[in-house]
Amino acid sequence: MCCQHFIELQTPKPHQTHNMSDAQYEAGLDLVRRLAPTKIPELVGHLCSLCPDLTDDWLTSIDQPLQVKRCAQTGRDFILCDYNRDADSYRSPFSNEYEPPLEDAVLPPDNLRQLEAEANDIFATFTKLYYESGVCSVYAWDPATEDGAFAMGVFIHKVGEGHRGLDQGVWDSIHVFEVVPEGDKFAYRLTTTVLLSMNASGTGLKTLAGSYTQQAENNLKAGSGWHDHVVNMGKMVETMENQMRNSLQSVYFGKAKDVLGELRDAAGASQTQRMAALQSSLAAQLKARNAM
Amino acid sequence: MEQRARTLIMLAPPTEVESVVKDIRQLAGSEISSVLPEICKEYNEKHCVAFAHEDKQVVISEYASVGENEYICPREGLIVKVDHMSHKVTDARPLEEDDDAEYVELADEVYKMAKESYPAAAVAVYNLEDKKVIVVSSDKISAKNFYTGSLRNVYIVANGAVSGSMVGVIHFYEGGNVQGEVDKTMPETPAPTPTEVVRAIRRFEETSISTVGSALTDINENQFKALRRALPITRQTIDWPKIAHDHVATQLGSMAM
Repeated sequence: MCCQHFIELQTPKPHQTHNMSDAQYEAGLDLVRRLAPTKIPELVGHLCSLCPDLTDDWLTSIDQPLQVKRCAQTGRDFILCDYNRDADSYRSPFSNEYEPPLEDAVLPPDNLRQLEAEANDIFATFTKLYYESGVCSVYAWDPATEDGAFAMGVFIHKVGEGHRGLDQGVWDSIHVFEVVPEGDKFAYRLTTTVLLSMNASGTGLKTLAGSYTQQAENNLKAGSGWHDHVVNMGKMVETMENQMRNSLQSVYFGKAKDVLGELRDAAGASQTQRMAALQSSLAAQLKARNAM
Repeated sequence: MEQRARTLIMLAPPTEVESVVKDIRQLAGSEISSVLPEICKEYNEKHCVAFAHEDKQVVISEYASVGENEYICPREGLIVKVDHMSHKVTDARPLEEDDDAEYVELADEVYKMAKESYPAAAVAVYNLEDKKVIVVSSDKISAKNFYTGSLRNVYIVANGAVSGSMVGVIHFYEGGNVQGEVDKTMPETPAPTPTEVVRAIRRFEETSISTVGSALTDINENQFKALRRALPITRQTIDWPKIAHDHVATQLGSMAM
């Protein structure tokens, strides 16, 4: 389900530890890939208890279902994640204030706060067009890597109502950009994770849930100000989400059915054997005819 | 520590438990080593894990336990001793044939069904004191296509009736981790003869698979579409320069007021 012009290989997000902890870090990420996706928050708790030294790494590198809070000042819902968290407080992208209030809290620099404000408005339109009623928050921060570089995350949380005996579904999009100046252009490196969970418990389909990550990189021009950056990132987010939606649809609904069919052979092996026997006898007949 | 290890291992999909145990050992360190075999045993019995033995597959289950890590394998006619950590059979000896006519007839019917519906699965029928138990352990691993799947069906035959369950996990891991879990219960169904037992099971399994199949179709057509549209209502992708421009215009407008 890879998209051709997208970078296929996933590199784990950077972390600052080595040796013994490296092996533990890898083992933890392997569990994230193997255990039931519905249990990820529980798993993160266990990982933090088993290896407390790696707590920061687990929290930054494992994507968890997004939580939502109402902004006390503006009354708008915003998304809680590791990128707007400081201690136990979260910063609203609408008021730029931490809730609950926090002394000496880290705020984005003024220029990035401008980007954040503009991007929140524009991605709210994107969310409305594709999700109708989702919650969207954009956060920007200084990655402190090199001059002129910046980082931005776009987060979307949508809860679908239950529908004709189906339970509610949840879609979370997590887009993280690193933008670095390169010559007269900018390199936009995007990592997107979609967390999707649905079920129809009444039918015996207890859960259908998971996370799916893809990366993309584009080199694009951008004039001064944030306008061009927002347009460039908007296009990338839209393309990425559209492609991932298609892939998810084919995995969740097409392939899942096929694998069930492989686990229990509905046609029955005897029929498969009959088909194979028929094919080989036809082949033999053809061969005999050609030999004449 | 031990409780955490047990909880996490118990969450593993049946086809991947060995890798999960390896991860846990790495995370929890050596102090967990002494309890791992016990946790693995619990896992293997609960999830009816099948071990390869020569050209056969033997099912581990609580119903088959006859001694310290020893299990009967009636279809293969063996009693095996196993290592729960490495999933290996360490010793095997012949199992005395059960000549209980009723049991033999049921087992024959079940194995006939298994050849049709589960040509590659491990299957066992156990003759216990107060009941007969049927276990189907079907796994599928496709590393090439990045998925694994497992189906566990356990049926209890007692007092002229059959009841049971079908539990399945499908796991796709290309670019992430997507899993589907199936859990169906077969209510007690009257089935006085082995033929009727197998017929009831067949009907239950066919209905279950087709119900889950239509649920998938239904979710796709309703729930999934309602979560995120494939395209905006205009059926066109977004004109980003335009919405960014409109945004600036609105900003300027509100400033002018």
